[in-house]
Amino acid sequence: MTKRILSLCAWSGPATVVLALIGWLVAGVLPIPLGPDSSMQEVVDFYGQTRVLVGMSIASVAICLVFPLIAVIGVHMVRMEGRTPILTFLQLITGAATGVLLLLPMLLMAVIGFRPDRNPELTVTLNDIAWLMFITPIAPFIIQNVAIGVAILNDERRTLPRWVGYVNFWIAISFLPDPLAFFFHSGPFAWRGIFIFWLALTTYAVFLVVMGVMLRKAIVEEYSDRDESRITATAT
Amino acid sequence: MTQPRPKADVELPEFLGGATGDVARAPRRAVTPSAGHIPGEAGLWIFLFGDMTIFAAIMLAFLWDRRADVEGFEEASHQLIQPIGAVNTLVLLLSSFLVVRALFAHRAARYVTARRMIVGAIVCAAVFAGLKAVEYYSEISAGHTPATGQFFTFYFILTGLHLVHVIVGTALLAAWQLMCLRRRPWSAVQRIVEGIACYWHMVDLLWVAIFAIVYLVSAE
Amino acid sequence: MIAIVSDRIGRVFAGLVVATCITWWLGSGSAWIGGGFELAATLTILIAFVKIAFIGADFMELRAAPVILRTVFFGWVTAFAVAATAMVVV
Repeated sequence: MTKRILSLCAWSGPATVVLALIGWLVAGVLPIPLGPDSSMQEVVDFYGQTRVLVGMSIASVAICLVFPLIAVIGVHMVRMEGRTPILTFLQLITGAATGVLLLLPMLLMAVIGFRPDRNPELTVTLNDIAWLMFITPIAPFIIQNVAIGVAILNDERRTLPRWVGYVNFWIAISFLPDPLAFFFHSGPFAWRGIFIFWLALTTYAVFLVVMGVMLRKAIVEEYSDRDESRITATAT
Repeated sequence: MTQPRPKADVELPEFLGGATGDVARAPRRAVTPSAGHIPGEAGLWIFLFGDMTIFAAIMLAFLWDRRADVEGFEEASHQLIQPIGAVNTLVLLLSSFLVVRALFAHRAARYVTARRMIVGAIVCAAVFAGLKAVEYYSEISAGHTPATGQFFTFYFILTGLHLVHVIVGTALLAAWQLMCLRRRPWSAVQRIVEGIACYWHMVDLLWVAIFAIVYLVSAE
Repeated sequence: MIAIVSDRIGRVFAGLVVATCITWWLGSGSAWIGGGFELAATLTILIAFVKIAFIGADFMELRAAPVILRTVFFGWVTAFAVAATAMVVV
């Protein structure tokens, strides 16, 4: 039973990617999101569509599938750390923060779409808040990834392969440019710029999929080891 | 593991990693000729290539945007203080050289030499950061900020991200210094020390590219 | 001085310093070089990537690395050099 729960939590990583992408495609946020340089009319027209409400409802649920993944990462990190699971705690806390920081912008965008006929300045302002809150808070994400990476590299039992630790470090670095979104209204460093939105989207998706898949493998291996030792024990 | 004695033709001075009365060559590892040795470990290279690729993409974006305004970029690049960029390149090359010496020394269990080399590399990093601060200060007081045009946007972002890498690298060098202080044997720390060294060489190599593309090519 | 270039690493370092000075001279605008901008830019990029290749081969010790890693590294460096040159010259 525990194995099944652990496996489901691991699968929630890739599931987040798939379902959130679907939500955003439905909402129209993908393939081309609104930018800081979108005109007031473009922003108002966008949020006038019903698809935004539908899509963001889906996305707001989907994005919360990171929580089970964070939990199963935590379980494995405890095994890596042993008596003083400080990095485990760090990952759980910052992971929980990342989940909330991803959820709120989704809800906010739905709220914007809730009353399309509000004052356009309010719409633009709320859109700014949603996007900047989505893109810029890098610290919980970076701390989470670094904690995971350090725990994996310090782990003598090889719970997860070492390359996963290095991938986490790379993902952490990819978030570094994101606060630049505060400073640019257009170009590759604006909130929808290639080095901000697209880079972070790609690397975070890599994080969810890699962690999900590799944890699933670790769970399968661990439980097959347990089965083997149980069989040998009953056989003797 | 037997280390074949190299010919004692030239001795390096002690401060460059030469042992007293011995030749400072890299102790040869017992390597199976076909397999080769991955510096650090395989996973590390995912990180290094990933990081290099992010920088490369930003530099290519810089070159792409330059095509739309070659003269503007040229004019802006002449506002940079090329000598500082060039000296910084040499400083980082020196620091990488010292890191290699430190690595060889640690491998040969010459901890004191290794520590001296690492301190040298850290000093180089401090010089680099100091020169960068001077450079940034002079540019900003001349009125050039990340907001004054595309050239300076890319310049500040590229060099800023690089500087963050230098700071992280310095922390890693300090961690290596601690390992040397504790005389951690090579077998225990090989992977992480080679990893720290390769990370530092990556920082060096990224700056070589930044110097060439942002400082030089734009100005030519 | 001679002692520094006594082994491969020393020689590579000396070469890197010289190459840096050459590219600095090329970029300083005082270089007399026919072929104008394109040639200077191409040479600068080329020299820079040769430097990067040597840092990888000798400082990072990729000479002793498995073929795959060497191929990926030098392939990456070459691809980047080609892309950068193309953006500048074409």
